[in-house]
Amino acid sequence: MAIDDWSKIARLVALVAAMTVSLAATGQSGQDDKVYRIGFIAFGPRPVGTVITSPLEAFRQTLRERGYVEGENLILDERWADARLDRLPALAAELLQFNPDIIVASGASAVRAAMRETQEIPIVIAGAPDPVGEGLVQSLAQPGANVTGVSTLPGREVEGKRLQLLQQTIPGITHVGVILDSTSRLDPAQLESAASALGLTLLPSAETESPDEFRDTFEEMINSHAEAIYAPETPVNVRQRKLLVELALEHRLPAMYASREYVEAGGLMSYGPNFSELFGRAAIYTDKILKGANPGELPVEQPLHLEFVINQKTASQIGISIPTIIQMQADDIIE
Amino acid sequence: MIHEKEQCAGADKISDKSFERPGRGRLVRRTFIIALILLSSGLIAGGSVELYLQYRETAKSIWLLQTEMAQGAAFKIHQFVQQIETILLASTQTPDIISSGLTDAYEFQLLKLLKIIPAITTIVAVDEQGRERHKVSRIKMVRPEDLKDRSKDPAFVQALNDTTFFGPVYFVQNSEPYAHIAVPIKRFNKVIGALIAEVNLKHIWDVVSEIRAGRTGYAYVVSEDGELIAHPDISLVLKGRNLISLTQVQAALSGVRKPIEAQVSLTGEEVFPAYALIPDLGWAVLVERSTDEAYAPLYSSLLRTSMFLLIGLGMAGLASFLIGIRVVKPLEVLRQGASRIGSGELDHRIDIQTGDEIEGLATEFNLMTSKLRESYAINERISHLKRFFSPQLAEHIVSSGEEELTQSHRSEITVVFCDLRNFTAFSSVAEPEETMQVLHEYYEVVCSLIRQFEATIEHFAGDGLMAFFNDPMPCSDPEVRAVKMALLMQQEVGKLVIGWRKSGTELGFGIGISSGFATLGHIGSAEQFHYAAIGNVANLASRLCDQAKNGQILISESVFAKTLEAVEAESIGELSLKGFPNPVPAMQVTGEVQQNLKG
Repeated sequence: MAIDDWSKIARLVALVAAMTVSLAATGQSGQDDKVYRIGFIAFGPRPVGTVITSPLEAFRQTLRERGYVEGENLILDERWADARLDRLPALAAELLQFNPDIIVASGASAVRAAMRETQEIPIVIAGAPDPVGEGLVQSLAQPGANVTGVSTLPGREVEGKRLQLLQQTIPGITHVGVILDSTSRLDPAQLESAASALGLTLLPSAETESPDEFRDTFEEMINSHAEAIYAPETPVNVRQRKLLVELALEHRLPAMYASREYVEAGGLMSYGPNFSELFGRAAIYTDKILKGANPGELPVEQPLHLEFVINQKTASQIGISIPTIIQMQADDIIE
Repeated sequence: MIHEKEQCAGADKISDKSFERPGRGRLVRRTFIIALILLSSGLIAGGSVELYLQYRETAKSIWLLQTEMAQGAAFKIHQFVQQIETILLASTQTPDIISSGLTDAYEFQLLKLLKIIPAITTIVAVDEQGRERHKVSRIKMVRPEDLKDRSKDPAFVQALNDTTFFGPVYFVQNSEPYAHIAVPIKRFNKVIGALIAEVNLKHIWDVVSEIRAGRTGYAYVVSEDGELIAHPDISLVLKGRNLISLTQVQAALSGVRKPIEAQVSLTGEEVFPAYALIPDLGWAVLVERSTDEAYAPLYSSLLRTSMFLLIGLGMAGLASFLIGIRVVKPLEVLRQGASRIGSGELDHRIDIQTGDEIEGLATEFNLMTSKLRESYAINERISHLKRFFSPQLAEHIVSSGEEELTQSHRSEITVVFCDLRNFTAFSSVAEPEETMQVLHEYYEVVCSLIRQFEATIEHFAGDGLMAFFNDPMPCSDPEVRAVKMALLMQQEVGKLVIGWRKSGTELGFGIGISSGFATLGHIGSAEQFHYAAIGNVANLASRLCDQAKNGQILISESVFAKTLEAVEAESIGELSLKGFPNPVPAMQVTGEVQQNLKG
């Protein structure tokens, strides 16, 4: 009788122990072994050198911080359009062949190319100006479809702000040449009204595409007594960034650009978003969406910072001195 | 314990199918249950109180801890806003303003503010009349025609009152949260205008996302209307969510400081919330942790107490079981022993060494058994002796020891011999039942007289019986007693004889009596013995009885000599008897001497 009871107790103890062990075991969940495929498409040229590499590197870095390791659980296919609009559709179609989990697109045209290819695969905007105005999303708070991400600018008013900064840097200027081609979606009338409010006369460039056309345009600008240059972000300007900067330097023309990449290449100054920061934010969107967030429900973020970058070396090369009030406002001064 | 086991084993060995009874486990069960209830009710009561107190204390300390986190977060956010206010105030104290009031030179200060405070998108200096005088924006160019009249703006009105204004939260493009902060511009303690800053509250994100509350905890900020201003997941803010429907947000904004239950967070998880109000702003900071994490100390403390309680209960159960076993096992041994004794095994000894009352009981039992055994032996002997002696005598003999009986001795006795005449012939033709009936009636009468006269029965043989007087109990006038008994026997048996005759049975009854020395003692084995009187006197009585006719009592000369005064007898001359070489004189009793009859 007693032995029967002891064996029952022993069995009970064994059962409780087994339950405890199995409970403890369920605590360790299995590692997610899915491999994610990200298709990256950019309107701009494939970066060369270390400085320009930084935005995509920032994207990769942020993904790494969130547990994505390329070659292990992540495949990143890059496609660069070299700022040629006509290449985008084919590149976007190419990316779709890989059946990516998500597409990250830099530049409004790249986003549109991806949007034409798919309405299902989520698309993350890694920087595009005015996503609502460009028709990429329905609203900032409720993008609605499969597209969301980070905008480059809080709005088009920044163009006026750039002109004003240019004017304040070189006080007394009246004529500003604008290097603008038809690939831009920027409304020239809007720019015109901002300029007139500042008392500036804009000298719109002819259609520029080839290096020769750029050279001709600069000659023309000089002849029209342009005292400074404003180069908005256009596909062609992105492609001819280096040439643009060289020509401005050659003609000793103070110039305002859209982002720090130009200034790092020798441009005088820029006012615009920090693309590394922006790409880092895009990586966070990518992570959220890969983890199941609905892109239509994720609001579009505007950049937290617009940075004002000045190249002091270029300033001395072209023989201008930056007023203290401007220097004071600069976020970054490249010596 | 070991001793206990041995006991059990011993008990098991004794246990035999015939001694088992149904329901023997009931006492174990009952003792077990009672002990269990007594032991565990105390434990459970104590444990429950402990559990409850621990639950309350831990829940409160969890809430206090998390409220402290929320207060820390509220302090940081307040600091963030206060810092903006301080910098704004500092920027109004410039040499220009002190010397000449609000001039164009002041724009430099505004640009500086944009540089220092990233959260400010637009800042504007307003003069005493409420006109915007200087305005700089991070994102747009400001034209002179953009300068507006702000005299009706509550921000301006409050700043003009020399008080800092913290405006309500509003959303640009229904997405980015903004608020106005306005401070007075003072010159010689006189308010000459206001500085109104448009602050992008998205920058609080830097503060909020740095706030850590344990592993899963996070902080978020709601405006006084319940609008989400800051959250580590900035997407939630940009959606322009109003959280006033959340219980914890209502509780936070009400300002009542008391713990609330676990709630569903805005992302649908089960969380434990705590909150704090941000002074000046009327905003609330909520810190939420997953209930699993927040309640972890609670669970572990409850688990710990429960474990102790369970172990206690287990021990109580074991103790109860052992108590049951300890009480019941010896009882079982006792019961089986009693059962054996009851069935006659008087040699059985109950072996219990528990050193307690039960052992005492067993000892008493054993004592009782040995007494029982003794008294049983005595009874057996007495009933044996009663065959020869009267009951009183038998008891006397047993109680006074039996040595004298077992030893042979010579003693002068009076022997009475009697038997039925014609019995052998009768029994050979009569039915056995009839024979036994006659014998029964006959011995009933004879034996009762023998008991009455306290004579010792020597033996029965069919219809014959031999008894004697004066041994082992001496008596006075044994011869007289013998004759008187014989007379009564003749009288009583005579009545029977008449009855038998009436039913057609011709039987007679004769008695022979003699006296003299005989050898007396046991004959036979220890168990089967017989108290015998051996000697001439017995033979003589027997022979006299043989010679006696129906109704006749023949006595020897020695008997006659001793009974002269009590009995009337007459000689019937000398008889020649078998075994006696010479003729023996014999007398026939005719009656008692009336005057000497005394009882």
